[in-house]
Amino acid sequence: MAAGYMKKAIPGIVFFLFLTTMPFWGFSARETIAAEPVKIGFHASVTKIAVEMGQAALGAQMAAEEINAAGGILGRPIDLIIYDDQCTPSLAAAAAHRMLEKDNVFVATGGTCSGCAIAAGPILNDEKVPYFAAAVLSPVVSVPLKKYVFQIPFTSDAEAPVLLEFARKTYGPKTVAILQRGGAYGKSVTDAIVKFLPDFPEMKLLTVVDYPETATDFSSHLLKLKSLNPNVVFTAGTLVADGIPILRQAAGLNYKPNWVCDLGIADDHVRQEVKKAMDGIYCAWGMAGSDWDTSQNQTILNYRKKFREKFKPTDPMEPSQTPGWGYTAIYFIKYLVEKVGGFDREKIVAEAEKVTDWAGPGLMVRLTYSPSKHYHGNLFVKHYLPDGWEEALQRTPSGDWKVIDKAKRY
Amino acid sequence: MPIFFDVVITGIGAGVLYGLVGLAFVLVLKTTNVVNFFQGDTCAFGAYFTVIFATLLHLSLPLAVAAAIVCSIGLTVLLELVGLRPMYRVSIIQVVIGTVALSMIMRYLIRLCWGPQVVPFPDLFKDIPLNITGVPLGSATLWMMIIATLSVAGFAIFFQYTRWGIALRACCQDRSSASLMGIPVGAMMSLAWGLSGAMGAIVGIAGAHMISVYPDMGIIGLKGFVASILGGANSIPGAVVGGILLGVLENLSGFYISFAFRDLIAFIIMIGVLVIKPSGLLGKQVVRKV
Amino acid sequence: MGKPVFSNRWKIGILVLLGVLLLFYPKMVGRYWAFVLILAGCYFLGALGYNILVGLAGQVSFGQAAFFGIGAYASSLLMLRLNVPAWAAVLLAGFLAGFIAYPIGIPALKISGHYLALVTLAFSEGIVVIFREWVSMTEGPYGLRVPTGTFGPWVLKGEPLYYFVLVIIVMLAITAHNITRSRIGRAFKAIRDGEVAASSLGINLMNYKAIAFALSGFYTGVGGALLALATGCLMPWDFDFRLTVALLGMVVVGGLRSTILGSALGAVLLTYFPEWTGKLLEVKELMFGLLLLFCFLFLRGGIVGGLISLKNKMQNTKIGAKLFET
Repeated sequence: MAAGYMKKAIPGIVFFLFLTTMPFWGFSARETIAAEPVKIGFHASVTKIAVEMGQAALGAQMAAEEINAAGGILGRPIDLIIYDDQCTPSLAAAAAHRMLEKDNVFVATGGTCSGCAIAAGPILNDEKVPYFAAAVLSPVVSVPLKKYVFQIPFTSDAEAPVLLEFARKTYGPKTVAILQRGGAYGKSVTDAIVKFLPDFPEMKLLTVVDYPETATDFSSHLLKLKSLNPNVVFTAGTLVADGIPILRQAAGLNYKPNWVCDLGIADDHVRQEVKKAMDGIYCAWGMAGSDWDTSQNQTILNYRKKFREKFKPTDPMEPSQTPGWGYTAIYFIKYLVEKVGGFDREKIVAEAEKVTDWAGPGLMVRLTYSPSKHYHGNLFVKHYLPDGWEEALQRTPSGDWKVIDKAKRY
Repeated sequence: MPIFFDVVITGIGAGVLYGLVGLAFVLVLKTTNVVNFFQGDTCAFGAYFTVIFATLLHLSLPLAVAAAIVCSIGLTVLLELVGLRPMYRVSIIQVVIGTVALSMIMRYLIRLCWGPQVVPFPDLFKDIPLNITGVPLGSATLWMMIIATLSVAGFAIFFQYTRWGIALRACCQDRSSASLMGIPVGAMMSLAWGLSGAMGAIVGIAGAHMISVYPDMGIIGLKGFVASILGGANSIPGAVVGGILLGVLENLSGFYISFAFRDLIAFIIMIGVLVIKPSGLLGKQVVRKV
Repeated sequence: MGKPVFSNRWKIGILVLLGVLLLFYPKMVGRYWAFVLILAGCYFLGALGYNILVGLAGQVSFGQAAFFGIGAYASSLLMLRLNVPAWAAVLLAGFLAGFIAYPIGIPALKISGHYLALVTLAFSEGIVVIFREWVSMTEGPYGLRVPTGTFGPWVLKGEPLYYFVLVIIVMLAITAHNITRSRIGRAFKAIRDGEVAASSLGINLMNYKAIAFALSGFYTGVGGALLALATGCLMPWDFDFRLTVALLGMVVVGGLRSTILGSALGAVLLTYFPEWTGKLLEVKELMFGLLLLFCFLFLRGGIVGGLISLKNKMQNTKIGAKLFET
């Protein structure tokens, strides 16, 4: 009878042991490196939907390897730590905390889903760690402006006027509608289009039809659009996994609107799958390439060659958008550190503030966010033509668009 | 034709998909009382096995599809035998977690082999198109409706008139009595799981062209679950009816009211249905004797 | 039969040890792991709420994530818009969640089993839609930035947040323990073990079912409110069905029959586990699934159940019999 109730103690003891030892479990592979490595945190959607965005991590890895092979940043090798946020903001927030408290990163970059960057940015900002959002387009990442948060790609505020412009140029629509994917990114595009619509007074927005991220059937959405019959339909936030069913189901319903799409749909998988259904569509696109400065061409060709050799992509116009952004982000960090002469976060942030057009080995970068300036630097437009052809258009200084590349997909 | 009919008909088209997944769901639920959260993933099995057989091994399409269905059945039965059967004696509620765990592992394995992106899928109905003028449904959906009708009829006949079907029903009603009658209960349960695996695979294969094929495509399982419960958790035709109702409800509320609130409206209506008829549309009230 | 003197001493001893450990945890393991424990604590409250509902009262529910979300959004909004102090916001949010949960107990009388599962699932997904679309309140898809709370002179970040969360969790755990021992707890167990029998004994089913939902909602709501403080950003999709499944996993892994200890073990294990797989990104989910499967297959009744059966087996050995002499 004496020690009879010790059985109650056993679970307690086990729990106690659990808690004490838990932090010390787990894998830790620490190779000894000569010079102390610079830790750069990179969060991306590696395993879940929006995975084509997660390819930014591939570009970042390639950049880190190249830089390390060439001696690193100021002699120190890069330790690129990649976190999988699965396009889920709460996981991105957890990754941000990880970066700060466990891995003690020097700077953070990445971000392939707008919601994730929106979640991670303020956390890093509060701890005064510079964060360069690499592949997200929502302006909400940067606004309200935070001292340590920068955004590398063009934002929806830059994309929207281009989409509207192309719509006007090609179709001269009187009525438009938006098909929006739920989520931070989709909403940004819609908000941006709505914001700039007054500049195109002849166009009237009939409706915004939105669908949740996990939707598989778009019949009612397409029927709604069909019934309202706008001259042009913009897609906002559409990704590959929805783009394919949407175009297929639209074809099935015999609905062929004039699509003007944002960049999510401009993916080789979509083209390969739906083939003819994409003919005639214009898509915004971000390409690894710089602006009309021809001296950059060799660099771009080198980058593309390296990327193709390493990753062997199937798209004839690869490398496409996102790996280039990841690649550029790392090179940009290298540039900042070398410009400043040391690993000083405050100085790097101050230097980044001054950058307006930086042409790196992959892309042009625009960082000082200003709601009034629309940056087009790495914003291109893809136009899908019959018989599997596609062409890429680029804006010239005079404001026209010229074809800079043409390829056959199938 | 006024657009109202188009909306309803396409809703039925989408709903048939949900209904068939729900049917598979009910098969397992009725016989083993297990809420199977990897039902949706059986659709992924079917789709990915077809990809293996058709694209990698270059079998002819009909052969590839048949092989895929057989493999899906095998995989489902295997998963159940190894992963879930041991726990039946302990607690049925916990088996739910087992199915969730298996779902995660399966999705991981699929992702390991093919990566997380969308995989191209052959168009099965290219050579056997089906079209009704005026009706805005694609070949795949029309074929799916035919499959659904055949399935419901087939299962009705199976359960009423075949030996195995009657044996299965006996297991549903009272497992111990059934085994006392000489019915191999274990084999019956495997049969039920196998059938659900087959149904899931068919949905995955027939629907793949319209929906995308990627590791998480099993998300349709949730809709199937909703459809089956709405239709009555112990009714096979109920699952299909529930699915169709769900599809139509979604489309109508989206089209006429609001897309943003579409899910909410559909759910409110469903709750209403259940409040009025607590055992689902076609479900039978189970009288629990004390 | 009087309680042997040892039982209390052992129990108190363990609890004191545990308390000391928890007090010094941040100092021992550093900021990051203290943060992980905070997260585990929040999920513990969620799992506890779920356990009260499913394990104690035997009700079916797939809607737990909704209460988590309501707690999170409500407390953040109270702090943001009405400048309510953190501790009050957290508790008020819990009450709100419980209050909203209460009426769900009413259909639970007529609708049961799988149907109740569907109703609660529908409710949960509906709440997500509200979080998403009520943009003026919740900022919708852009996410709600949770303000940093303060408690007196302390800013609730890092260590102060840890202790704040710890105190609240301990208080709520003690309350839950008392509830399981109280009349309400016994009524719940009676309902779980046999509704018909329970009602024939005079237990008002509708009342107690509603209370079960309300309590569950309260605990889960507080968990959500604390999680909001810890992570700093809320998005509608954080509170969908996947969260419910995760909480259910914690409950089952810990042990359905063991309300407090089971939820705690399950929450701690499932929160810490992904942290260990750290760099091995792709493997994280596989590991999680394998862990669930392992616990499910080999630990009947969760970890606590497994430990109890282990103890039972040990009692059959000579040494074991001595240790666990009854």
